[in-house]
Amino acid sequence: GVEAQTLANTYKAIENNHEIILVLNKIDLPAADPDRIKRQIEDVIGLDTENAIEISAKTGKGIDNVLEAIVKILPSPKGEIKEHLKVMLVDSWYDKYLGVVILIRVIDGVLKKGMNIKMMSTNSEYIIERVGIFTPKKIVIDELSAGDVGFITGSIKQVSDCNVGDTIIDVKNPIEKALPGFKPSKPVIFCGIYPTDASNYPILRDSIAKLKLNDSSLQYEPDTSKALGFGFRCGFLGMLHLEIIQERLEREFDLDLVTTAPSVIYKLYMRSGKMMELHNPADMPDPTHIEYMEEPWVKATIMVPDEYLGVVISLCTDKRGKQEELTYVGSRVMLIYKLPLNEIVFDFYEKLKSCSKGYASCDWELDTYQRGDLVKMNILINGLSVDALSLLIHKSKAETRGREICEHLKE
Amino acid sequence: VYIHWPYCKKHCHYCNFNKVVQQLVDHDRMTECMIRAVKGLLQLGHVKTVKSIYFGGGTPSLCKPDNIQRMISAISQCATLGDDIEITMEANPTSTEMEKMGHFKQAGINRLSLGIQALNDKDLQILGRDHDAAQAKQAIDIAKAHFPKRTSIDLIFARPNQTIPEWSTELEKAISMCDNHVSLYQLTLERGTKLHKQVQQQSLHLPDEDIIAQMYENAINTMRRYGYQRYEVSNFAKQGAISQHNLSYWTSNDYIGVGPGAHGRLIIPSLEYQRYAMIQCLSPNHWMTMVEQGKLGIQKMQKQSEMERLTELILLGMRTPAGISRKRWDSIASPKLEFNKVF
Repeated sequence: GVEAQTLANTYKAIENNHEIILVLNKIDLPAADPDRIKRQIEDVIGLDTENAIEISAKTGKGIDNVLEAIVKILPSPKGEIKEHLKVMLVDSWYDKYLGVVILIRVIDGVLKKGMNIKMMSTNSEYIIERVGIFTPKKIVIDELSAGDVGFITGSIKQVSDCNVGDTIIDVKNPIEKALPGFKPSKPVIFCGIYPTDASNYPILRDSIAKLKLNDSSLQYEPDTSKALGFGFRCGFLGMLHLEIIQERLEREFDLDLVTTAPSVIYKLYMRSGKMMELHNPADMPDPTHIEYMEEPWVKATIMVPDEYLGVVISLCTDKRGKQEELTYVGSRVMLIYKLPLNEIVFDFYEKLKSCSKGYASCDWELDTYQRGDLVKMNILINGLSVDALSLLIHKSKAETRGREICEHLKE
Repeated sequence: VYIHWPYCKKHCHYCNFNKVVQQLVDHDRMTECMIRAVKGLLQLGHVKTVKSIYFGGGTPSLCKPDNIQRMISAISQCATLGDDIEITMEANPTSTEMEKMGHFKQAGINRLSLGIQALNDKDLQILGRDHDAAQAKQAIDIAKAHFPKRTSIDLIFARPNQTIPEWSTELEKAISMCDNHVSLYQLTLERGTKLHKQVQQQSLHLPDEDIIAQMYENAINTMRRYGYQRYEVSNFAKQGAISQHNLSYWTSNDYIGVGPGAHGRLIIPSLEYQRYAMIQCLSPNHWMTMVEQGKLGIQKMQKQSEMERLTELILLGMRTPAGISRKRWDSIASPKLEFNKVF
């Protein structure tokens, strides 16, 4: 049914005037109740469900109708075949057999095998060896033209040579202006990853590099800690991203890891007038040099049955949240709260689920930076401060969180 | 405090207000819910003084006078009723409703707003009204007897096939019978109403836009000639008989709306003294259930940002000749949006 993620993303799509096709999946399940969900959609989001498509991705039922609807209802891509080549670089990864594969969207013009192309952000030139599409299998074809999405391979050596959002053009017919390009997702949550056994550092280093090949949004750099030795400081798009990477490192590469508490990017306004972005609490300068600090806030959409409204509001208030909106939808309530990011990275999701017997759902997006009364908290083990474990936290939460972390570490 | 009584005897063909036509109305249950909700909302806002009460709808004159008294009494238990508090009720000029006027006055109503709309029977039928022109005249007389100098009438112009001379004649006739407050509304076609459909299907035609504009201009001049001051786009008053309740909307003051579909603007102390835009649940039955569950009937409440508050200040303030003062602006705006900076 309709949950927080559905709401948050649908509203965004509506705000951007996108055409929306409603698809109800998993109708093969015995508990499936498409009519109830359609009513829910009409009540909660206000979309007309007359043309909603019922499917089962598992059995394949209804998929044809979705493809038909995509062709019939969604507006076709705007672009000119006759114009000079303009291609957007959407993503890139390393394929065992093909080398570096680049996912592209042709905006204008025609892209053919053998063409000499240039990446506008690096000015590097390459020759296209293969042009193809996904069906979802990779199929090599002759050309891609305006409106097409596909892949290219060529003389590109490294995935790191490819920048997400870059504009690719024809060397023979260059264009002046690059595409505005969608912004590659910026990591918002950081943590340190260290091997439990220091001798495994090289394995960790290679494993992270392998993961990065197929995940351009993962950021990492080498880091050293007096207590934990050599490791990496990693940036993730969210808690789920962090957990997936951690899980994959442990499972796929058989590594035993220590991860530090997740932290966010703070903005420090120094007395000297400079602004400094703090990614690692261990790098925090002398507090006497700091005028004030700002922390990132998020806008969270929460869906919860109304019998748990009270406890969820208490939880949000406890996490220094500010209520923006409250709307009753059927027997559930949609809440929009602004919350400090550092209050929700730790255990907000778990607490939300547990106080609502699992019924609440939540989705959030980065909002603005706001001034906060923040302090640096250090964790001492055997009397010695472990730099990798220190974090920036709101003054009011320091003691409670400190105790929680120590409990956690003890386990 | 605005109280929305959502029940009507029949559908008027132009009306898209939140209402339901229902034969059997549980007056006491709805009244109990109104009482509970209004008390809860007054407490939520830590309201000290109520300066005006307005019973709208639907058709609030279908209420039992005793219930009106109980609702007013409930408000006075939670907040002080200001000196000279204006307590208005809307009414339809039907004989059954006009018979109750004395009782409504005893119950606490001290101002009446009559939905006259038109003074010719053919148009009253097209509008789907429940009365005729003769009843309208009678109703105005009865109202003026019970609420002298505190009776208002509503008129709708730009009706299907109406001409400029017809409107002028009708307005003069209305002025000859009315009291000291008149509201003139241009007919607006709202989606879902019978009139909207009829005009779309072309079985009825509205006057041309330029003619409507002329009708409005003529009305302003006529009203002025007879001593009525236009103090809001649609509202005219003689001898200073301005509607205090409606004026508070146009000056962006806070108000509580109680009842299905009612809107409110309230500063909530427990939510950091931020101002919230609130709307009550639309369906009368759901609304009553929600109130009985302790939810105060709130369907949605949304914090108003500074920009939203300032935008409302402009939208509403520009409807009055007084406009918006710099001081009023700065009472809401932070230093960043200080009046001189923005303009």
